[in-house]
Amino acid sequence: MKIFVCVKQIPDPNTVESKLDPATKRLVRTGVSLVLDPGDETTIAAAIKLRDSLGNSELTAISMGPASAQEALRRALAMGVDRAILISDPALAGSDVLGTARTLAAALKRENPDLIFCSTESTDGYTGMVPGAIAEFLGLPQLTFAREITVEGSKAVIKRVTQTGYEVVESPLPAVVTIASGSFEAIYPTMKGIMSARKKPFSQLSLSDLGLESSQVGEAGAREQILSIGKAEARAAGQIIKDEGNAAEIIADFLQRHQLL
Amino acid sequence: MAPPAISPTGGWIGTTIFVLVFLAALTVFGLRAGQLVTLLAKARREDRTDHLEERIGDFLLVVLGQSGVLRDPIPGLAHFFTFWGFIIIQFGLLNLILGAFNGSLPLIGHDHTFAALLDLFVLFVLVSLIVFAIRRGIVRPRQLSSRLHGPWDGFIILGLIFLVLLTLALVETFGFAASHGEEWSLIGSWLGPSFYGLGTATNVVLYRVFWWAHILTVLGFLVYLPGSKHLHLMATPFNVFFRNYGPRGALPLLENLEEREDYGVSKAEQFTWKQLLDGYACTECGRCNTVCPATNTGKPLLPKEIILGVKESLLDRRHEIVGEPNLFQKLPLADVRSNGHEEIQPLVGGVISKEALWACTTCGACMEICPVSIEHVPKIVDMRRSLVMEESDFPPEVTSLFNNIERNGNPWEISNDRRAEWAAGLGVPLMAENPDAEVLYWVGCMGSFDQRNRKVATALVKILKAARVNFAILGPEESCTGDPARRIGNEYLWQMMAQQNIEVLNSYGFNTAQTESETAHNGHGHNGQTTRPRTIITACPHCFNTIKNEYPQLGGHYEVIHHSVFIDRLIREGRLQLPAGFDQRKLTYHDPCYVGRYNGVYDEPRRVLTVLNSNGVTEMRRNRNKSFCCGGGGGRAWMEERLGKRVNQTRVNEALETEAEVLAAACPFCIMMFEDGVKGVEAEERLQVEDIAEIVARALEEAATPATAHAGQ
Ligand SMILES: Cc1cc2nc3c(=O)[nH]c(=O)nc-3n(C[C@H](O)[C@H](O)[C@H](O)COP(=O)(O)OP(=O)(O)OC[C@H]3O[C@@H](n4cnc5c(N)ncnc54)[C@H](O)[C@@H]3O)c2cc1C
Ligand code: SF4
Ligand code: SF4
Repeated sequence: MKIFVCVKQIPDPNTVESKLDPATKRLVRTGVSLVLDPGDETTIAAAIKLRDSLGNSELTAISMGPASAQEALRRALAMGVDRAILISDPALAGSDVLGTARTLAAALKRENPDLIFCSTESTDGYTGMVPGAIAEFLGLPQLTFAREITVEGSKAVIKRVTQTGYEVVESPLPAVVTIASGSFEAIYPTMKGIMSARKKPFSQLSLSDLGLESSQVGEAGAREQILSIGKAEARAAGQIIKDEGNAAEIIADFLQRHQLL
Repeated sequence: MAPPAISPTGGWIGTTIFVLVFLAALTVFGLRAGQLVTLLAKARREDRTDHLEERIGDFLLVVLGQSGVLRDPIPGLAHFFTFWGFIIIQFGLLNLILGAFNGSLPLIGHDHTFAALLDLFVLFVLVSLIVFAIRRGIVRPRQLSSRLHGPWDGFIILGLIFLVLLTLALVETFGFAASHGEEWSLIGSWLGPSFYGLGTATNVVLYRVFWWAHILTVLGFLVYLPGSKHLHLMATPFNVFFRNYGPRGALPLLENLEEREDYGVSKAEQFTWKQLLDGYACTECGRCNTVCPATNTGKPLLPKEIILGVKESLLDRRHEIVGEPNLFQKLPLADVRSNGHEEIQPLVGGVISKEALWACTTCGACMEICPVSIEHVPKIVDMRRSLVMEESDFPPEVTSLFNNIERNGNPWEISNDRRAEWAAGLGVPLMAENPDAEVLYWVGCMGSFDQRNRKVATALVKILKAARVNFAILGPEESCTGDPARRIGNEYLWQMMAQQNIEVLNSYGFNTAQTESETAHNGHGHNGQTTRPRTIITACPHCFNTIKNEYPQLGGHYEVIHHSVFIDRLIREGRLQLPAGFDQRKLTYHDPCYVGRYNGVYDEPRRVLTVLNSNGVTEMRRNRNKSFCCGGGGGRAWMEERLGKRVNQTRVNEALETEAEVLAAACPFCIMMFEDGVKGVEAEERLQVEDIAEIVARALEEAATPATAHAGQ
């Protein structure tokens, strides 16, 4: 089987304070430390697990981003992904969800994938719209919020996280599947992984390789427009309950009020 | 070469049989021992021929003087006499063997003094044997039980030694009786005359019977030896001779990371020959178990079982290691293994559990106490290396530690740019601002970011300022030394961090092996000749140890001093005036493993505390080189303690036993572990945990403002 996993490089969510550029109204992504999205790391773990259980399958990581995104893909290779594709082109700068998905879909289409993994949402932009848009462009069914995935014959079967438990959902292959966050443990690369990552196939594609016009993507193709940006309201201070014998009651009340009980 | 009074074999036929039996036994012994040597030859190489002169001297002391076992006096003395008795008895044996060829040892063969000495030793050894038997059979210290050789091995050996002595006594008795005193011996002269009544002919027969019995027992012993724990009789001398003479705190470097096939040890034969020799040399005395903080708090780690596990695994796999089985290898060594499982288990996660490997704090107590210089910690780390770098299999909480060290240069999710924030307003120059500073204060991650240990860093700054030391810190140019990563098994990450730090330190000219022209910052007012080696000080024993002892493996040679030693030096040079007897609280001091055992610093911190406190230090039950780990070393501070009792609470309880009010510490991890432990046993009211620097800084402060000096007393 040909399995793909879409991954993205983002400003390190643990150390980098997100800043918005008032001029472009976009996230500042340069001059900060960049990492493979930790969410995508767990999605890669899910994809590797499936590949290993199937046997005779190839797992490719694909990313759209600037040249620095190479690093994120190297990390994916070190974790155990077999092959990497980076789509990088100056014309892609300023792509919105539509442009991103269009580009990724175009690259995926050339590969005739059987299964495409995405995270439910990215850790920086978290629109959660890219996977659906890819599925739409490719005309494929999409399975969402998976916490477990298996392939049985020519269909994919997932356990889909719901508020109360899970549903079992299946779809024919090929399909796009999004992994629910927290369902898998990221893989810390082994030395073999790190060393072989340098030798694994790595291809870089530009817009023209994909047969896309620069008017369809990037700033030019963006259909979204950010009208204004503003500060989020500061979180109100929490309530401290001092136990005077009735703390349990107050907490229970509180939880009930918020329908958590 | 005078002939014996009576020929023990009774002529050439007997002598021929003896020669054949003797050669056969020797051959079997040779083949069995040969297998063991072949296994070592197939193992990894390692050079242990440095420091030759010291090796020879220590060898005499430890092997001939038995200084290792003598640390535990009663069994130690018993062992001392057994050992020397055996050497003397070997000469007696040789004498008896020469008898078969109508000869005897020159000089001592018929010498009464030698004969008397021999018998005195026989008596000594018999007494020792009784001590051993009581210890093993009645006292039964838990550490003596053996999974590898089963309960019987110890008794078989004691029985064989007893038989050797018994038959020897009988040979002497009947030799004396048969020769009417011509074959003189002490025991013979006591017991022999009572058998005159049997008649000479009978006595000659009995003499010959017991001669054969004696010789056969000895040969049986020889054949049994290689498969027994008493293999240590042969291996120990070599093990002591080849022990580690490098810095104790340095783990072996994993070379050539880019091109290696393996990263660490998952199969016994990936160890070096010396690490495997350790297994042969282990006497199974179990001393290591008695001192191990993991064993003592109910973790599934017994350091002795690590050593024996490696040996078991090596012998299990000997056919795989040596190749096609031939007659030579088919010879059984099977009595080595008595646990009965048929299929061969993997070394890591089979013979030795992963939980055992993760439980080690690398405190080094086991290596300190082992009478035969066995090296436990490098083996444990080698196996951790395989788990981390080959299997990516480690406690899940460690993943973020690795990622953070790699990405942020510190163990937390904090940008390293904020590394100097603790010093804001304290007037501490950065190295970049004061490149000529004589002293670099290496703050470490704990001092830089941990709230509690920032106070220690602040205290140390006060001391440095009071003593007018020209110092600076690196701030964001400093990164984690990589120590926790290395000890958890991530050698790759350690090397990455070490290289990065070495580059920074070299750029400021701290490398003692570096010439002036190599330092990049010599534009900063260096007039081109100040190459006096400059000092790095640190309050973190882990930073201290790895920079001092391990960075040289990657070319970084520095003069690094632990802050307790530096403060002591400042006091002795008169640069720091401390109010003597200032602090009258009862205090005890905990020796951090990487300051004490690994680097031999015991006196300096005590001296500093004694200046301040005329009552001195009230020692805990386990102190100095026997100090009991806080539980935080070896990366354990970053892992959950899921099993057994808490190590930190165990040590805090020992401190409480002294009724001290202050537990003086000299390590940020100890402080963290103990504060947690004090809370755990609810002793916050009774016991304060304070770094030496904090105690000194407070004394300085109060001495400077005499008005308040006695207010709090
Ligand atoms: C006008 C405009 C301009 C923008 N310009 C830029 C820009 O110049 N540079 C920039 O980095 N962002 C830019 N963005 C943000 C960009 O649109 C989003 O980062 C991108 O669409 C992904 O959306 P998301 O992060 O919400 O992904 P989500 O939909 O939350 O992502 C879900 C999953 O989809 C996959 N995925 C998402 N993005 C990628 C990708 N790039 N490669 C591979 N897989 C992916 C991953 O598996 C991810 O976990 C711009 C946005 C707007 C509105
Ligand atoms: S180093 Fe310490 S914790 Fe590790 S095995 Fe030895 S005694 Fe036990
Ligand atoms: S390793 Fe050393 S201390 Fe431990 S049982 Fe063996 S000989 Fe004794």
